[in-house]
Amino acid sequence: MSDQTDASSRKRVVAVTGATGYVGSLVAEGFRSAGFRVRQLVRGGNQREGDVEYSLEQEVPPGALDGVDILVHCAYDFSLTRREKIWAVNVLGTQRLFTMALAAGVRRTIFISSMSAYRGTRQLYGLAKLAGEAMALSQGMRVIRLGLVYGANPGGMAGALKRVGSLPLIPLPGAGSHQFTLHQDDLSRALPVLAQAGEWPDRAIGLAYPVPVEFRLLLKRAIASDGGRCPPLIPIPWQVAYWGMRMAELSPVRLPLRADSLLGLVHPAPAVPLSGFVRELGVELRPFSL
Amino acid sequence: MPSALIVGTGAAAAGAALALSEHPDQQITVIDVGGCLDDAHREVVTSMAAAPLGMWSRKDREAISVQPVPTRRGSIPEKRVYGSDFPFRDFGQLEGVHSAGRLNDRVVSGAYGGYSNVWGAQVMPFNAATLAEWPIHWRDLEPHYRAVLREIPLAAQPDDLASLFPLVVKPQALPPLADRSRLVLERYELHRARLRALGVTIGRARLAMSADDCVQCGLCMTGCPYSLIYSASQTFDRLRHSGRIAYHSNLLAYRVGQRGDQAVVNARDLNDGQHHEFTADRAFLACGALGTTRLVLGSLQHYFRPVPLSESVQLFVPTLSTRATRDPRGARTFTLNQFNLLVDTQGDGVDTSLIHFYPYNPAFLESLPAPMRRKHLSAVTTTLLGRISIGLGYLPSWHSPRLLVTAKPRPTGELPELTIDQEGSHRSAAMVRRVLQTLMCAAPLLDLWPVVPLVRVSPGAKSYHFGGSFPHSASPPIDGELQTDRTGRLPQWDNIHLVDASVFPTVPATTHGLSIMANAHRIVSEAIGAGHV
Repeated sequence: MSDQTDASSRKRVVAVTGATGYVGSLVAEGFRSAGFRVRQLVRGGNQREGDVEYSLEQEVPPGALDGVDILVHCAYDFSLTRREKIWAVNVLGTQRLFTMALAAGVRRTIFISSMSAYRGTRQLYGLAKLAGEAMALSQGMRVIRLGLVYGANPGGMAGALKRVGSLPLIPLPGAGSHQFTLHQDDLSRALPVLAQAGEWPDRAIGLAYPVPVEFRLLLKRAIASDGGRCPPLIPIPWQVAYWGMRMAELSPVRLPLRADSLLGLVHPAPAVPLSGFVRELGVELRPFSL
Repeated sequence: MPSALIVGTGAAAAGAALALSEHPDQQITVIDVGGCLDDAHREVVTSMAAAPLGMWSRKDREAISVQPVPTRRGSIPEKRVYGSDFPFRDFGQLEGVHSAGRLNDRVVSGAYGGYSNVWGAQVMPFNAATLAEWPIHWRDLEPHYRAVLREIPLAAQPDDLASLFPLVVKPQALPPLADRSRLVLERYELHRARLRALGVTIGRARLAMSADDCVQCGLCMTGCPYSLIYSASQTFDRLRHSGRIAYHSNLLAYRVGQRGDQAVVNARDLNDGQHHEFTADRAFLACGALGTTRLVLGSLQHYFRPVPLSESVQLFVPTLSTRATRDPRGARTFTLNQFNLLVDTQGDGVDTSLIHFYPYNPAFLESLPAPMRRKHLSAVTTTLLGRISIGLGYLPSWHSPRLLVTAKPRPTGELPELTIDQEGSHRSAAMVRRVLQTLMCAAPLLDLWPVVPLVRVSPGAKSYHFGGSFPHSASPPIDGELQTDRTGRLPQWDNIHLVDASVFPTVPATTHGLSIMANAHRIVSEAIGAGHV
């Protein structure tokens, strides 16, 4: 991967929402390494010195985006499971942020979306990301769909899959499905390059290795990545798992994976959009390996 | 001095003329059929425009506020403007145009200003997600939307729709809304997240009107006496009065071609039958999608082979509310569309239907059964009128039946015969179902219940949102293909540009006029090497 960071970018300010989350922290780290000054917009309680308190549920604090050259919007509240609440917080919160970014004169805004956002998806997370994409594209902003981000100590979806390994038997819904993956180090290195690229298509681009990884393999590798042994995988119809999880979500039981996430796993995107464009920018992504 | 010839005076022609007029070295000629409002009605409008609202006589008011007239069974009645049908009238341009079955046959306007004399004045750009499927993208069109919106007035308000369809320029405020519109918008605010999650986004109308001067006389739908609603004729009036263009009317262009490096347009005088030839460095064809299609097919002698056109069909959606407003007949308000409801069936901003909601206007009363207009039933009528709204929606062309037009030769000096047919009438059914399902889910939240048995899809060519007979192609079009490059040129011609909706690759469900003007402005700017404005 080429390092296109130039001297002028060293003084540029990048604001990252959700910068204490798994993806957000990787993005923030990537920009720091590339010489940017990073302003972290994070939820109250997660703040460190210099961070700005920000929540998708509230108005963007005055001045939070002043002097910002690049805004990277990673924040997403995964704790919500009801559709209208997801829209109230994640979609309308994104709309508020974009409005503020335009008003504050932020020159470039990047909306971090997901490979779960594709035309025809039924997953609420994917649909909420699609709604954000439509708004971002309409304002001339950049949209990047990330593949399943993984690494040595993964969070997010990869982390959740790893935690499933603590079960004695693992039900395997959607055994034949696949995912597109993105190594966390590649994400960190790619974002500053993509943020500084000149030409950009008026559509979402995918940031993921374009060869699909079978879900069964992905799960096995994720669980066994610490040298442990993967428990037996028992294929089951995904509908059984999905409705079981939906029921469990009505109770106080906390599952390692949300029912909605399961939909994303069993109905993956068919392909990585515009992966050739990413390659042309000099961004090399590695194939899945754990 | 470089010369340019524009054929037509509708929205596309106005966009082209605007772009050309930005270049002082361009010598601009415009030819057109140029049908106008008759003198008697014009006199009435002129006298009303010179007087304040309170001084208008009842007789004058009635003379210019003729309600829409039913033309074909199952079709939305045809509008009248200032009491006249001149935008739809056949001045000679419709001779030889035939439509199959219930399809609309008044598909080419001969009016000065074209169909923009009767449009709904709704101006929204196409969104970026839709344009992603075009070889022309949002960043290509955005400066031209801006340029056009410097010419035409915009009354609007920043709202949720602006997050998907940017306002582009700072708008004037809309006049006060009718009671029903206010109630719906209040309920939308209250249930915004739930509605957005259903795929419903609502925003106020975006209108090409000088709202600051609006006196809320309620005559918008039949012609504003103060001419506050934009029509392409206003742009041509301005350019003519400033001497920037040379305008010739009563001319029907019947053939285009090239001689050396000159574009040649042959036209017939509709008064005396004389034939005229116009030459210019470049010709810009803006006769409306079907007018241009007919002119080009005849000029290329492309006969007997059906050519498909995309249409964004119209959906008539009457609604009822449980809570009545006060009798809308006594309220003073503007009567154009007041709010828009966007249904996004896939969530990606592409498979959308945009429904324009209209408050009460006298056409509502006229459409009720005759007994309901009698005095003894006035209480029932009032109850009903306080609950009715009318939605006029559109489906994207990829979920609508296509039009098929076939040209046949006629004698030299005539446009070819044109037969209009439709194919794939089933194509809209699934989308209509999804839209109605969404509206039913949203109904209790908005108190806006679609009267499903009365919902109608308009007959072919009735939406006036059609185009794409010579779509812009991503790669250079090759001989034999009816496709155009990004400056609207067919492979046969170097300096003849198609600038109206005939070059649209698709017809999205959002409004049409602004994008026609902006794309025409872009084509001209790129063709004469001006780049972005």
